[in-house]
Amino acid sequence: MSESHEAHHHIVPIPIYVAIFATLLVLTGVTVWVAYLDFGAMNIVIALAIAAFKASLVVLYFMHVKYASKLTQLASVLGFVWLAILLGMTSSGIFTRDWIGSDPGWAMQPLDAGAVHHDAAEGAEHGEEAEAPAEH
Amino acid sequence: METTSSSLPLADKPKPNYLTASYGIKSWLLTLDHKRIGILYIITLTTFFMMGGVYAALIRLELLTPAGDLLSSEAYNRTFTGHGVLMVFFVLVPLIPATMGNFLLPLMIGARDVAFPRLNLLSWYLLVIGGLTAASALLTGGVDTGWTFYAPLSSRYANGAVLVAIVGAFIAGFSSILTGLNFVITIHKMRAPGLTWFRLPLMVWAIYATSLIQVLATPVVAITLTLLALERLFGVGIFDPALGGDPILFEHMFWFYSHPVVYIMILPAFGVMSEVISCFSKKAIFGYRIIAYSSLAIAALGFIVWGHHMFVSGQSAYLGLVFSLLTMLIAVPTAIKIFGWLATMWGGSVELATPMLYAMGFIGLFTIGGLTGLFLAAMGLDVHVHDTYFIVAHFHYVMVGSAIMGYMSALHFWWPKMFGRMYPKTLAKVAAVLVFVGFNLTFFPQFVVGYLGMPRRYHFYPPEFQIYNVFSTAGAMVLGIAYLLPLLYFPYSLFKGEKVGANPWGAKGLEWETASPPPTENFEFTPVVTEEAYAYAKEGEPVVH
Amino acid sequence: MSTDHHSLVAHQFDDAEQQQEAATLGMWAFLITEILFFGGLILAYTIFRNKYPGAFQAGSHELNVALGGANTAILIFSSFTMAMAVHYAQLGKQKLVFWFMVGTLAFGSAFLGVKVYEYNDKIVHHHVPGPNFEYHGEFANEVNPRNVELFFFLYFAMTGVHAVHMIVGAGVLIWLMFKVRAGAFSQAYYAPVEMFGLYWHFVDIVWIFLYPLLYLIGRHT
Repeated sequence: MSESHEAHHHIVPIPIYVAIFATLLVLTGVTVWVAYLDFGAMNIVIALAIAAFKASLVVLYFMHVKYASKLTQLASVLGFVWLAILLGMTSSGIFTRDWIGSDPGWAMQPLDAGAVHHDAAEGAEHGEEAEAPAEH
Repeated sequence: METTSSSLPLADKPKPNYLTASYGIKSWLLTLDHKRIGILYIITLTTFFMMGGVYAALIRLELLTPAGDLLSSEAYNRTFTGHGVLMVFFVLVPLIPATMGNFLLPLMIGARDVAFPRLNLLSWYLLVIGGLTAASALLTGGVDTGWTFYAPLSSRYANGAVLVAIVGAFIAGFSSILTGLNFVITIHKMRAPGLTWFRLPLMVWAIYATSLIQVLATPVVAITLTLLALERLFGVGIFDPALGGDPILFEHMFWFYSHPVVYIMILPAFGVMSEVISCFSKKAIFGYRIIAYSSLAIAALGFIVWGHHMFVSGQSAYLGLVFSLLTMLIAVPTAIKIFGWLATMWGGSVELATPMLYAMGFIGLFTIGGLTGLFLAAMGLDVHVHDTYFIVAHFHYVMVGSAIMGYMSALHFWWPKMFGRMYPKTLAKVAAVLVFVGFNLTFFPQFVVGYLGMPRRYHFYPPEFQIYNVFSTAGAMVLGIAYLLPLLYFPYSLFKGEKVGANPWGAKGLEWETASPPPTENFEFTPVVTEEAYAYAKEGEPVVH
Repeated sequence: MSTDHHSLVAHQFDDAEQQQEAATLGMWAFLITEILFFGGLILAYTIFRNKYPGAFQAGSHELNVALGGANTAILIFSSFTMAMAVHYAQLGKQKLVFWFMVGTLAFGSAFLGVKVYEYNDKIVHHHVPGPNFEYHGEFANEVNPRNVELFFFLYFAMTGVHAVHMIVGAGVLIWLMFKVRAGAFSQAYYAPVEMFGLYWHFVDIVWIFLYPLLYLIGRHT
C-alpha cells in the first residue's frame, strides 16, 4: 500500500519551487512595467494574460496539479470554465442590449455622464414594456 | 478492501438497527449517521412545507373572490413572498437530495457513510438556522419583494425585513453547497468494489448531476445576495440604476443560480422515477446509458438557458435569441428520459402500488409542465404570457407536480426500508389519486386564466376570471387534504404498520440487500457488485411475476 | 506502518489512500465554489469597468501601486513558504514544516498589515462608499463621483472578501501549527497540511488577479 501512497504524492524537487517562486516575482514586476506602457485596449488583455500565466504556475506546481490524477486536473479547470460561462453570456448580453433599433430606455452610457440619474430611474419603470415592441 | 468486514461478531439477539442503536434527543442532534440525518431533514422539510402551505392556503382564499377583501395588497405581497421563499429555498432545493439522497446514497453505493459525515450534519444545522432566520423575517414584518428579490425593489423600496430574509437564504445556500460537495466526493470515492459508473442506479447518477449544480451555481447566488445586502445597507448602486448600477446585472446573477436550481429540484425526482418505474414494471430500465448521460446533459445545459426568465426585462434581444434556442435544446435530454420510462413500462408487469401511482402521475404532470416550458422558451409567446398565471401554472406543474410527486413516490417506495414497516396501502393509494386530481384541479385552470390575461401577484382581478379561481381554490382544498393524509398514516405506520423484510417490493439495488431498517454500519460486510443495475429480467425474456 | 495510522482512517473509509483522495477532491470542489463566489464580483467589475472606464481609471489612480505591488510580492513569498511546508510534510520533517508555517503566517500577517494601512488611508481620504464619500482627484472634472464610488465599492468588496479569506486562513494555520507541534502528522498522514496549502495558494491566485484589475487601470496616461 505504501508504494501506491508514494505514487500519488509526487515529491517536487526544491529547485522547481524556487524557480516558480522567482518567475512569479519577476512576472509581478513585468505586470507593473507593462501597465505604464500604452498598448491601448490591449493593456488589460496583457495584464490578464500575465495573471493567468502566474495563476497556472501556482496551480500546476505549488498545488501539484501537474502531478495529480486526471480527476483533480479536471476539477481544477471546471471552476474556471463555469466562470467563463457566467462572464461570457452575461457580458455579451449587457454589451449588445443597445444594438437593437429602439431605445430600451436605459441603454448603457458610453461616457460617465451625470445624465445617468434621470435616465436610469425612469428606465427602471418602463424598461419592461420597452423591449417588447422590438420583437415584432 | 474486504478485510474490514469479517471482524463483526454475529449476535444471537436481534441486531440493533440505526434507529435502536442509541436513544435520546442528543443521540439524534449530534448524530453523524447519514440515515439519521436524512430523517432529521424529513422532519425539518415537512415543517417548512406546512408553513409554506399555510401561505398557499391564504393566497387561494384571497383569490376566491375578485375583490381584494381578505388581505390588503401589502399583506398579499408578503403572503406570496413568504410562500415562495419558504417553498423554494427551504423545501424544494433540499427536498430529495437532502432527505432521500442522505438516507439512500451510501446504501445504494455500498458505503458505510458519506465521505464527510461531520460536514453532513453541519449542512442540516445550516438549513435549520437559515430556515429559522428566514421564518423570523417572514413573521416579523414580512418581505414584499417576491422570492426573486429583484433589485432595486429589494435594495431600495421594499420596507419589510428583506435583509433578514436574505441572510436566511444565504445560510441555506451554504447548506446546499456542502451537501452537494459531500455527495460528489462520496459518489467518486466511496463506491463498493465492482460498482462501476455504469452499474450505478440511475438515482445515483441523478444525485451526482444535482450535486454538481449545487456546487457550481449556489456560490453565485451567495455573492449576489451579499452585494444586494451591501447595496441596501450602504446605498451604493451596484443594481440600482438611479445610483449608476444595473438591475439587469442582478437578474443575470440571480438566474445564473435560480434557473439551474429548477434542475436541482427535478433531477433527483427523475432519479426516483427510474428506480420506481423499473421496480414496478419488473423490468430493466430502457436505455440505461442514455438516461444516465441525459442527467449530465440536463445539468450542463441548465447553466446556459437562464436568460429565458428575462425576455421582457431589457436583456439584449440578440442574447435572448440564443437563450431561446438553447432552452428548446434542453427538451431533448428531458424527452429521452420520459420515453425511456414509457418504454420500460411497455411490456412490463406493471403493478399499481402507491409509489408507482405517484410515478405515473409524475409522468403526466411533468409532460404538461415541460411542454408548456417549451411554449415559454419561444420569445414571442413569452412576451404575451410573461408574469401571468400561465407562468404560475407552468412552474407549479414542474416544481409541485413533478418534484413533490417524485418526493412522495420516493417516500412511499423507501419508507419500509427506512422504518421496517409498511403504511396502510389502500389509504395511501387514495391519497395518491387525490393528489393527482387536486393538483390538476388547482393548476390547470391557471393555464387558461393566465392565457386570458390574469397577471400574477395581485390580490384582486376582473370578475370574469372568478370561475377559474373558484376551481383553483377548490382544487387546492382537495390537494391540501391529500397532503394531510400521509401526515396521518405515516406516523401511524411507525407503530402499527405491518412489519416487512429487507425487500418488500422485490426490488433490485444494494439498499434492498441489507436489513429494514438498516444497521448503523449499513452492511454487515462490504458488498461486492457483480451485476448490472436493474437486473430484473433481460430484454425480450418473458417476465415472470 | 499500516497499523499505527489505521486509527487515523475514519470509519467510513477503507484505507488511508481512499481518505486522502476524498479529501483532495473535496478541497478542489470547495475551491470551485470559491472561484464562482469571487466570480460574481469579477462579473460586476467587468460590467461596470466597461460602463464607466473613466471613473474606474480615476478610482484606480487613488490606489497605491507600490503598496499593492509589495503586497503581491509578500503573498508570493507566503505561497512559496507554504509550498515548502507541504514539501517537508511529505518528507516527514516536522521541524521544518513548523518553521515554514511560521514564515507563511508572518508574510500573511504582513499582507494584512499593509491592507490595514491602505484601508486607513481610504478612510482618511473619504474614499469609503457611503454618505461620506468624496472624490477630488486628478479626474474630478471628467467623471461622475458616484461612479468612482462604485469602483471603491467593488474595491472594498473584492479586497475585503479576500482579506476575510486571509484572516480565516491565518486562524487555521495557527491551529495547524499547534497540531504540528503536538506531533499529529507524519510522513503517512499529513492531509490537513496539504489541504490547507491548496487553500492558501488559491487565496494567492485571487490576489494575482485583483492586483492588475484594481491597481493598474490606465496607468500609462
